[in-house]
Amino acid sequence: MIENEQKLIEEAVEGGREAFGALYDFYHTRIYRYVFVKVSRKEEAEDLTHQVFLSAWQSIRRYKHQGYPFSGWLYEIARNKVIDFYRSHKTELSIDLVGEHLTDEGSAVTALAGMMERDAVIAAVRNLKPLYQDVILLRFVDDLSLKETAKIVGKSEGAIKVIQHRAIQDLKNTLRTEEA
Amino acid sequence: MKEIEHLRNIKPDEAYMLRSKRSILREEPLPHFTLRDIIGSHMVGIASTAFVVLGMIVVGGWVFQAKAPITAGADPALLTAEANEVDIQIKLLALTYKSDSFSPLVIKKVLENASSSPLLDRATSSAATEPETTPPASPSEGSSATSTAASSTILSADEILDNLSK
Repeated sequence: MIENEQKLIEEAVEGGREAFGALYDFYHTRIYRYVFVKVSRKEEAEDLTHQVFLSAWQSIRRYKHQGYPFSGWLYEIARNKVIDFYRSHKTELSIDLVGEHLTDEGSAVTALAGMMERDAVIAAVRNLKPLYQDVILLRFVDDLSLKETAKIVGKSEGAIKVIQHRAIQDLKNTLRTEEA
Repeated sequence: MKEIEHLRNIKPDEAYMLRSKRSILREEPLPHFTLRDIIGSHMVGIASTAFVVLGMIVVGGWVFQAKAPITAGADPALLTAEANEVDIQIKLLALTYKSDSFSPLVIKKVLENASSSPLLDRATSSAATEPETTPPASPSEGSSATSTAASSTILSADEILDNLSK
């Protein structure tokens, strides 16, 4: 969580652009990552992430702190945007271009190896059910708690534990199959 | 989980981030209206509407009262007494029937019924001194005789209708 987040949120709710800008800077990458794994194309991920923050800014005055971090609200918006995206497009997107949008450091060979590994992981994650994808991303990529994840996906904490366990099993099976 | 952690290296393009941020912050956040805001901003309108509705109810009630029936304040007992004092008498001076409407048998029966009614008794008793009418010689004459007898008898309209219905 960002420092002075509550104060920034209060200022943003009052229409403070700088405060919302700070929140944008802090959360943008996470939301982009979540969306990117879901849609696998840079342009669409950028467009959807932009829409997420635009919606958040436009409806910031309606935001009410309910004991969950601000990111939970953003993830909820992002999740709905992705669902709307797939409803309107209904196309299977390729992940061919995934590698070129991943940042890495080190030599080109290491970067390429890393990209290929990430491509495989993204492909494996995208093979999961949408709910499993959400839980994996929120819990292990964005480090959200069980409670926060449960709030975002609209399930109980117990259900999240079960889903998480099954999602990991499915992911392992997929990765093993790909390696073989 | 190591594989999943690789996903953390996914990062957006810096130029896109900046462009998107500027674009978003150029927009104005949409106003959020609560019920209190709506009521507060339309207080004058709501109050004036309520005033007009109240006025319509009051004026409507007054008009309704003004159009109340004239007997609203009258004494029912007095009205009944007045009504009883009114003398209403209906006198049938002439009563004729179409000759082909009734058979002689029916006409005879009507006359018999009429003769048994108290009113007819009263009327016939007063006319007892008059000479007897000659019985009808033919069915066609019967109808004229009927009309003669009826015309000399004072009957109430209800009684006549009763007799006819019998």
